[in-house]
Amino acid sequence: MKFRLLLVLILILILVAPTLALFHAPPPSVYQTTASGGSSVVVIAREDYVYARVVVTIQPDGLNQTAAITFPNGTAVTITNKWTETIVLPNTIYFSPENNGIDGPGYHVYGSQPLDVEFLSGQNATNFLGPFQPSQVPVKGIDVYYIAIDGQAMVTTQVLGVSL
Amino acid sequence: MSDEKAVVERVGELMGTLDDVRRYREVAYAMVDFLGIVIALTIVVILIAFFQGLYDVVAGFPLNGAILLFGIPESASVSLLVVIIELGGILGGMLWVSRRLGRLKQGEWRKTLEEGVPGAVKLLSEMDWEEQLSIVDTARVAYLFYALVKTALYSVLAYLLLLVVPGLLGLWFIAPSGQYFLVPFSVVLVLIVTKKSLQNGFARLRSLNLLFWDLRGFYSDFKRAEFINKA
Repeated sequence: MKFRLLLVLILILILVAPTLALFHAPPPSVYQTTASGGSSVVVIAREDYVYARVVVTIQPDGLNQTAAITFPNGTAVTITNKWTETIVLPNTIYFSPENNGIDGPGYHVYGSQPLDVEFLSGQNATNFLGPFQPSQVPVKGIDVYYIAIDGQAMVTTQVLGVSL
Repeated sequence: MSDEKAVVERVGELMGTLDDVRRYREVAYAMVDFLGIVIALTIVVILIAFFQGLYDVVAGFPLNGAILLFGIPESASVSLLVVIIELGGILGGMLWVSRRLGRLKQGEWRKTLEEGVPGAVKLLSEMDWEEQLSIVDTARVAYLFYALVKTALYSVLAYLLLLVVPGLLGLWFIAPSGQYFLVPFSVVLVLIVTKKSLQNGFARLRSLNLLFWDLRGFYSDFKRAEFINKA
């Protein structure tokens, strides 16, 4: 009887344990942007079945203590103090086994890594945010978002997503 | 006279051996309960981590929060709850094993053996040899199971300690990828630390088994001699 109960518990454990694999949490990262040498870009990429929350914290530092942030929709703000933006990316579909993988500048997304946040420095921001450059990569089911930062600042990203 | 003393000593060794074997078997059976408790609590912890993860991703997670379990940022209270549940389960399981072992009756044969050779003969005559052999065989497998469970549980304890202490010191925020090496590191660490104990345990069991067979041979000789004397 005890052995049967133990087997049932092991079976439940086998069924329950994979649920944690639904979560995707790239390690928190800290970057330093520089005032010269081009823009810095935070690249957020995900499969569209991932519900993700991305928290970007920017702390201007250096002599002038300002940093300019440009969002994917083209909105730009200049900050002088610590600034935190929470970006919620709801899933647009539910999980499907058709996992499209893609590698590009600042993003590497595939089935086992459906959520990725990376940092590029020394970039020309217009390549990412210009009116003729779509922020969505031409691969069905994968979204890529860019946040450009100009100026000297400390950038911290925290990311958590769940496949739904 | 010295032969009689030797007989009593050898029977005493046999009975002690059988007590040890019974203890091993009892420990292994208790380990089934222990494993059940730990697995049940692990399921609870996984469910807590799952719902905490859902809550974090939907409702927001604490900035610069600790990342203690499976890479999911967690509030300090939930992390503490998880650690308390796991450690509480392991300690509770150990108490349960200890209680079961405490209830095991051992050494009752000593009084009979104090009577000398007649007591030794009585003990040997009343012994169910087939049952004892079966117990030894079961105990050997049980000891293997016990060793595996013991190693696994020590590994879990080592993992939790290695996860929590550097976590409290903020190491995992500086080097979050270090957590991914903790599981193999904990297992290897426990194997290194308990290597001697495991080797001794298996060696002892093997020697006990040999002693048992040796004494069974002695019993056969003894019975044969008794039969000849009666004839």
